[in-house]
Amino acid sequence: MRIIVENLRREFGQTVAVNDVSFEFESGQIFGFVGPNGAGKTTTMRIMASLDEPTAGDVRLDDLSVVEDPERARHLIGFVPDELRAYWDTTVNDYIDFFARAYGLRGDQREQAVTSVEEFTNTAGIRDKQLRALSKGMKQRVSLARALVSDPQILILDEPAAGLDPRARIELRELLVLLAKQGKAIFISSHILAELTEICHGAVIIEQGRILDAGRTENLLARRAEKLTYALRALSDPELLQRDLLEMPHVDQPRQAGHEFQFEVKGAEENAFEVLNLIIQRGHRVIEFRQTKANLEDIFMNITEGKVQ
Amino acid sequence: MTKPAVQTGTGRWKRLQQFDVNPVWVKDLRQASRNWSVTGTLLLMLVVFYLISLGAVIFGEVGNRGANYLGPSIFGAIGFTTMAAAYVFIPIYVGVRTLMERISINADLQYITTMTPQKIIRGKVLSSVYLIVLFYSAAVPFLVFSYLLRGIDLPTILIAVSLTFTINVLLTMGAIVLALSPLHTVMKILAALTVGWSAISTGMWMVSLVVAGGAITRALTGTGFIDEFIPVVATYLIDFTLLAGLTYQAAVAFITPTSANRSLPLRVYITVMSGVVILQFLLWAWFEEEPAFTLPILVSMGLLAILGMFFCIGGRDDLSVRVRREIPANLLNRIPAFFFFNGTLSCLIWLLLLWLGTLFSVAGFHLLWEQFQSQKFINQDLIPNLYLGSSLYVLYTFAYALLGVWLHRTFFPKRTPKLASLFLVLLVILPFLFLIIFYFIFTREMIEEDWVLPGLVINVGMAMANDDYDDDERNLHLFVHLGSVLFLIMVALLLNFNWLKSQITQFKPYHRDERHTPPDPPPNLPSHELPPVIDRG
Repeated sequence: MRIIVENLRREFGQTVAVNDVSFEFESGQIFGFVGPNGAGKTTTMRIMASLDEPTAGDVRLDDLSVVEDPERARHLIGFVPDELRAYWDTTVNDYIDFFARAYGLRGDQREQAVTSVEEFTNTAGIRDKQLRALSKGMKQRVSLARALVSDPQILILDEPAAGLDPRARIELRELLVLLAKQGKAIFISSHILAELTEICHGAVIIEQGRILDAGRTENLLARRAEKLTYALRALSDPELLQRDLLEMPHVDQPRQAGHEFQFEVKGAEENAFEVLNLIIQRGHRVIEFRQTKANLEDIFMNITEGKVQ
Repeated sequence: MTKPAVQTGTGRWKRLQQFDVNPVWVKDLRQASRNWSVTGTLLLMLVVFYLISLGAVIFGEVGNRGANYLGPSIFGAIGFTTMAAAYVFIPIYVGVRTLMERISINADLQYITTMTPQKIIRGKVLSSVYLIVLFYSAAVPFLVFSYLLRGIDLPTILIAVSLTFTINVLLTMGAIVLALSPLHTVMKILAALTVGWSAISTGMWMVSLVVAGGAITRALTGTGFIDEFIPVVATYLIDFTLLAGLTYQAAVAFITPTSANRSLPLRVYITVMSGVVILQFLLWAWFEEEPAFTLPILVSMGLLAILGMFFCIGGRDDLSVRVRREIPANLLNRIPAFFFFNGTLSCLIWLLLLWLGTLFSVAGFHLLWEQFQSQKFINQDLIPNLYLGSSLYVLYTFAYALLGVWLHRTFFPKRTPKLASLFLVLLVILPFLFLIIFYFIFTREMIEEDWVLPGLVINVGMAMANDDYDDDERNLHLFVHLGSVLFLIMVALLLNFNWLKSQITQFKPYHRDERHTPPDPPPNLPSHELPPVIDRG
């Protein structure tokens, strides 16, 4: 299934929260949605989940328009908001069971679906606990279970990792990777960009309601990385190595980082080969030379200005 | 041959097995059963019942040894306690819960499931009714106890409880509507206090009327059973059903997304309901030979038109794609559909037509009355006051509504359309207020009741209430207002010409191609690179 966001625009009075936003992704992919606070991420996601209506534009799931036919689209979409809504006197099992009923699941089918998502999200052990007694991480799992109970093909997650401890974050990430492998299209917004780089097939970068860039991660990196960063470990005098590096062509900003040196090489990868040759020619005993990968955080910092509306 | 029958039977059985109760009903009841306030109120009510019964028997016996008729007093005390608990607690509990689900911009996620708005509201109503039944069933043993103590009969108990129960259902449904309405929370609380209090006091008054002096027993056994009891009960049941239906439709409309055609079911329902209410009042007027029964028709329909116009112009007036997809392609079907679909102009005209329909119904009834009834319908001189006076309010509201729309669309098009409703109110109040203030500043006197002030709707009320007027003077005053309001409407229509045109031209079926424009590539990309939107990886 292909999810196509077309020229989306959302105005709130005189404020344009989302301005001509277009991108697309497909089943089996995890797409990150990156932008500063107030960039229009939540608004876009709410429109994609049929919770809000755009002033103009459309979201299509293959040929199905979310704007024109939200009832049918809702069968295909699972939405995980940034926080669990107020169901303070409901148990985990009742909560998930309610949504299974709400999505039209009946009898054994419903019971199987509820048990299955509880096991998948590891919430079976807390099924009789009331929601108000849960930690943030557990609430996020319950929220994910709720979204998954109708077995949607598209999962939209708004800041699901916010407030989670490192273990919960890693577990959530593993769940998402597993879901993508099952063929679900996952669209996730997060402030923890390093994590997104690891699991995302692509990303959409937004600021002030406008798309700054979008596409597969490697394409984004290729487009945006003007300089490549390299790490070097050598059995040499660090001061001498730094001096030599500073004198070399194409090399920029050499600095010592722990046991290694890091520096940027302008231009194509051939220049890096040339730099390595020069280092060896100058008698440095190189034991490691590698390219350090740029991530979404680098791209994000590179192209956004941190402006909000 | 038997095989298909068996399959059908099995299929039905399977369907029966697959039947599931409304999810919202299940959720709300599960939540209520875990909520301490529900359990606490119920237990408190039972304790009070117990104390009342015990106290009445102990102290009543001592003070009333001879008469031994404690039934009515115990019934009254228990009934009052039940009403106090159920009338106040259940609507507040249900209203607050519903409000909590809708209070934030991130409305509860049940509203984005595949459940229809109708199903959600049905679930809410069902769970509320179940709670009311729970409270009343707790009171039943004590009410039976009051019957055993004599002085009150079973029909009275049955009818009083039914009456109380139905009013309770309406109150709770009203609380749901109020919780879902797009009003500010403070306004909701104020409305709940005023409407709730008057509804509760009316309910209590009606119940006391039924219970007092054995009225039910007399109605059931006397000659008025067919002529009075049955029509009154039938009228009450019809009105209860109509009001319950109205609150249901209003609640559904409030949770239906604005992009959907939420006006259609509500407007159709109100049109049918208005017809039934008008017919009901006219039948009562005819058979009771009491023309005064027509007055509530004019008052209620006039209020409906005025309030409706106030709310209509505060909504969005562009048609969403979803609405336009439902517009009939056939022109003959499209014309009547216009009045029932979303849209500000369509709403204003629909309300105007409802008012015209009301006037024609009353006028037609008037003619029939003059022909077949011996008694006069109304004094000939008061006819302009009846028809024209009431119409002037509706026409002025229509004119002000159009002017409000024009002010909003011309000067504050980016602001919320609710401003148009505010302008309507200001147009009613401000010119009159300024006139009074300036006149007082310059003359130190108040304006006279018999002043003719064209364009000011408040002056219509002054003319109708002026006791110094003879009929001719009053009629002349009203006709001047008719001229001025028609002029105002003409001016407002001319000012709104472009808006009127857009409202009519936008009412055409949707074609998908209109929206489909290829997305632009993002800026700053090298020309040989694919734009992200068609980045196939």
